[in-house]
This record gives sequence, structure tokens and C-alpha cells, in this order.
Amino acid sequence: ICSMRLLLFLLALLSSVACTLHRFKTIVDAGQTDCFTVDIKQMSVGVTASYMVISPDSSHDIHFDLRGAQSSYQVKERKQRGIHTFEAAQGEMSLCLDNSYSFSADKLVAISIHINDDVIPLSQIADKTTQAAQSIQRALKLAQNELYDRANVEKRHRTVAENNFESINFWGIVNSCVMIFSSLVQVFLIRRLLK
Amino acid sequence: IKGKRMIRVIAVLSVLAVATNALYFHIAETERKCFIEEIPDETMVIGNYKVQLHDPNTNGYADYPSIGMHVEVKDPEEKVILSKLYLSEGRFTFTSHTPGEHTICLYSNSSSWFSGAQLRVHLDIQAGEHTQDYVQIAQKDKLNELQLRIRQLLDQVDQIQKEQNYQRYREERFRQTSESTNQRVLWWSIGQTLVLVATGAWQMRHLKGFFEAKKLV
Repeated sequence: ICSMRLLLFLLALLSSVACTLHRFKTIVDAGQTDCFTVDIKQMSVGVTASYMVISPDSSHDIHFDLRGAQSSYQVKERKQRGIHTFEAAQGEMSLCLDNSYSFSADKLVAISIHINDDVIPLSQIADKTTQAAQSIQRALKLAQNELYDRANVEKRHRTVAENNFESINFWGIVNSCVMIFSSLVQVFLIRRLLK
Repeated sequence: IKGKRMIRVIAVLSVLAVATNALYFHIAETERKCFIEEIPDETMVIGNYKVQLHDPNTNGYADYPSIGMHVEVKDPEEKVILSKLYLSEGRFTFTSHTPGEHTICLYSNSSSWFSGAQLRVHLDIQAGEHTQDYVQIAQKDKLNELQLRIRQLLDQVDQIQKEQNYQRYREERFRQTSESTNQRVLWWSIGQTLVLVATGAWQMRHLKGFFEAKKLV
């Protein structure tokens, strides 16, 4: 009896672990295309794929190409951020980030692929304590995902602020040079005019 | 005997946990692929990877034990904290000492024997409380299932708290950047006004001297 309970518990433990989450940030160089593929082993599983362009700027977008296995779902769009939830069939699901239309902008993209392959649904766990603990764990996981998304948005805003900080200097110097140069040109022209 | 069966069950379930839906991508041989992890300090990051080589005979990807994978990890100050050559399949670990963006770069060490060949890299990077091996902790500390479950929840809450502290630190940096930008705008405005006034004054003085020399005034 004890071993059965431990077995069920470990399965429940692993079900919280087996809810696969691929979350990473990668740099797509200008002119390049980066593709990521996930091999889905279950027959049909719910997948949530989201992406967000973090830098160089909040005005940059990227070409997003998502292809589910066996043509179950297809998305081709060019946006800054997007979330797609769908049922993926068994097979290879590929996600491509196409930056080939850009000449010089290297894009930092945050990607999150969440695959809902829970081994044991909540209602089938007999023990009330385990059920409670499992639901707390799921709520905490949701909270963590929210925190992560918010951190990405904050990073995007902070990148804009830091870019502003640098451009202030640049444009200040450019303005001052233009002013000095135009005053010199004015004096030079007047002198030439009256020579 | 019961203990041995338990260990075997645990081992089988651990294998099941690994056989989840893995992510892979393709890189050329000399190409470098970088991932960025923004993590708070004292956080452990574990990366599991496997490299396969394209086999033109079967048009698939097969294991090739002699390929090595070079893993380079840089901390937020661009200092290299891990730079090691691993086998074609393995795991790398590092712990962050400063909060911030750590860059994990992977590139293969194969030379131009297989020129133009594509490599398939299976990668899984876990940070924070996902890196704890609870099966091992259960055995070491002799915890029953409830205690292990609560330990897991406590670790998860700890991680969330660390993330939130780190978020506070980042927003503080954001606020400092904004305030410095404001200051800079103020100084540049004053400076450019002074430059305008100075060039105007110089122009008047110079032209006055010029006209007087030309006996026009």
C-alpha cells in the first residue's frame, strides 16, 4: 500500500514536471532565419507558443512562422509579439523566426513554448492533501509565468530608455555641430558676397 | 526488497521524466548559437544537450560520438564564467554570482572535414528550482511524500521571491536611467542655447569688424 501511494505521488510529482515548458531568449542576426523544432510525442496535445521582440527597439517586428505537425496549424505573421494556442498533432512542430528582411538590426526575441502534457489530471488524484498541494503548485507555476512575461516587457522598455540615453548625447553633438557649421557658412558667404 | 523495488520504480519514472517533448534546432558547423537567460544571483542553471550529425545516406540525423560541443557562458559584465569543450551529449552547469543577463553560446568544434554539414542540437536549459533533483532529496533527507511536496512548494515560493527581488532591482535601474536621461536633456538644452548665443555674438562681432574694414558702415 505504501509503495502504491509513493508511486502515485511520484507520478503526480512528475506530472508537474512533465508539463513541458521551453522558455528562452535568442538573438536572430540580421539577414538570418532561426528555426526551432519540437518533436511532439503525444497524439494530440494543447500547445501555447508565444514570442516577443525585446530589442533593439519596441518598434521592431519579426517574421514568425509556426507550423504544426501534419499541417494541423499554420501561422505566418510579421508582428512584435503574439500568442498562439492550438491543438498540435503528433510529429514535428516547427517555429521559425525570419529576420532576412532586415539589413542591420539584430533582434533579441523571447520565445515560450508551453506543452500541456500533464500525466494525471487533478480530479484523479485520490488524496485530498496531494490534490491541494498539486493545485497550489499549478497556481505558483502560473504566477511564475506571469512574472517572466512582465520581466520581458520591462526589459523592452528599459532597452528603449537606455537607447534614449545614448541618443541624447549623439543628437546633442550633431545639433551643436550643425549650428556652428551654419554660422560659419553664413559669415563666409556674406564675406564673399561683399568682396 | 521493498526498498530495492522502490529504487527501481524511481529510476524508471526519472527516465520517463526525461523523455518529454524535447526542443531541437539546426546549426552549421562553424555557426554559433546564443541564448540569453536573465537570472537573479545565486541561481543554478543546468543545460542538457545532444548533438547529431546529418547523414546524407539516410537523409536523417545520427549520433556521431566524435563531435564535441563548445559551451561558453558570459556573465552580465561580459566576463566568461564557463568555457569548456564537452562531448557530443552531456550537460553543463553554472551558478550566477551577479544578477543579470547571462549569455550561453554553443558551437561545435568539428573542423572542415564535414564541410557544409548541418548539426542538429537538442537543448534543454533549466534555471532555478527546476534544477533540484527531488528524488535524490527525498532519499537523502528521508522525507515522506507530504514533506517532499511541501519542500517543493517552499522552493518554488523561494524562487518567486528571488525573481520579484530581481525585478525590483531592474526597475530601480530603469528609473535611474530615466532620471539620468532627464538630466542630460536639461544640460544639452542649456548647452545648445549657449552655443546659439555664442555663435550669434561671434557672427555680429566678426561682421561688424568686416563692414568697418570695408568702409561700408
